[in-house]
Amino acid sequence: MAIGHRAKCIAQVFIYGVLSIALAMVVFSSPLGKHLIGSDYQDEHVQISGDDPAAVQASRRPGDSRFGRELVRSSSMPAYQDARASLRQLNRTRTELLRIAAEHQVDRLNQASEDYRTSVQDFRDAIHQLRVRVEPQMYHHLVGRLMSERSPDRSWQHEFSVTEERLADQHREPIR
Amino acid sequence: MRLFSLMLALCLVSPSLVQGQAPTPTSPLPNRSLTELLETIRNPASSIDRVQAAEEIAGFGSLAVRPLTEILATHDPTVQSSVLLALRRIGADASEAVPAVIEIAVDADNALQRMAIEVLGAIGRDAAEAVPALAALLPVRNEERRYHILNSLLLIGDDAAHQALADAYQRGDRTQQLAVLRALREFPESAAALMPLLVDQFVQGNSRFESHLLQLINLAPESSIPHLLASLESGPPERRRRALIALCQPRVASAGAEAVGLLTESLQDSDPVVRFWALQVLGAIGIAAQKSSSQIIACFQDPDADVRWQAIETVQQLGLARQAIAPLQRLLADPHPAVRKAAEEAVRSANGDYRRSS
Repeated sequence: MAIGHRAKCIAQVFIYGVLSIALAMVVFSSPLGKHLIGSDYQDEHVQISGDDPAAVQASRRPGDSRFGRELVRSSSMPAYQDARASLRQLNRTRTELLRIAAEHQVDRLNQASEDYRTSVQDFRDAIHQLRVRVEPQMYHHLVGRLMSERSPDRSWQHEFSVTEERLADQHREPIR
Repeated sequence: MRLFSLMLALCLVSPSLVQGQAPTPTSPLPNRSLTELLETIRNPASSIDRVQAAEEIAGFGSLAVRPLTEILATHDPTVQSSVLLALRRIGADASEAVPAVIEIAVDADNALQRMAIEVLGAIGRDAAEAVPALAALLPVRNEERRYHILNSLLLIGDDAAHQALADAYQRGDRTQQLAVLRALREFPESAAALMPLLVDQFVQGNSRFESHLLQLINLAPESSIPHLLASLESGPPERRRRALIALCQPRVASAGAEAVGLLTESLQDSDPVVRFWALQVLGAIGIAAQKSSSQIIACFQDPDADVRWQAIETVQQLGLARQAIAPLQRLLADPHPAVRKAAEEAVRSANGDYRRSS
């Protein structure tokens, strides 16, 4: 008898629960319900921004077909190849300068320092040439690609890691 | 068993109720007159009843505007809220209510300010007299409020509204400038109206918003092309370069056949960067640029390696590789490895095309 009563109670709770959910769904899907909870407002905003070009802009990432094609195309242009070569030269001269300084070869230090300065200037010029030949939104991606490439000996990028921010700083302000 | 049947019935019935046999918001119930609905708004039995009445009144359109405007003068925020809701739903037909709505819109302390601003936008062109008031509200820190003001100005969309937007951009701080540019993306006609300002900002070298400006220039190519060509015709190389970058945008280039003559002239420019971009735009324009084939092929002998490389790209884009096979073969001995590689691919591609066609 007691078990039967408990089962009846559980069944009642279940039925009331289902009824409440069904009622809530009906109420809040009606225009009045939507207005009460403010979702009609959201619907309108979604409708307005349906053709939002921001979404188009957001898709302009390396995965996007036009953008991806442009990225690949730009990285085969002479300005990019020159920037890559000058970055390697910059890395070589810096490594050489550090080595000479570490070995206290005072007689070669001035020349190594001058070579390094020259390669910094060459790199800055090469980056400028690249910058004026690519679309603004492409430039930073292209520089990121340049930085992530590896030389055949796979060592230069570890010896001298140039971050994109540092590169941009160098590009903006002359090195003293 | 009875319990199971009840549950099954509920499961079957509830989705059909949810999937929309609810009444549409603007259709008035047949047994409630306008007078009854207005009375419900003034003295509602409950908030649900008031909102329902406001939705139904909208179905009466312009007929309901005068009595609603009279009720708006009650200064009871609850009642005013319902009236504004109804006026927003009525939209363009509610122009008679504009002066009363402006009064609420300019009151920063009024909790209904945002709703009033939205009503002015919903009325659209006929709310033109609200433009000075909306423009005066613009230097606001609240981003959401600013969005609604800009949106309403754009929905009004007359010359005065466009001027107000231009002023808001030119005199505003960085956040306001960005908000104006973002709002314009949803309104190509307004972007077209503001195109002289947008193009000028881009070609002058505004690097802060250049992606946004490029997007807007690309949004209304018919308006942007004349201004871009004017920038290309005169001014320093940097200004010409930026005009060419904008002309490279897909929609602008697609509509840019008229630019071919000036672009062909630009191939003789003293600045190699301008020549490089002129070639790129010609390639993006496509078939209409084929008439400049001889000038494009002549760029194979340009002293700048990037120009030679871009000339190869453009020749391929325009389907001129077979026509240019002899000068392309001379580039196989180019001093720059990137140019040699591009020439090799172009020659291979042209020969492949030739074999396929013969």
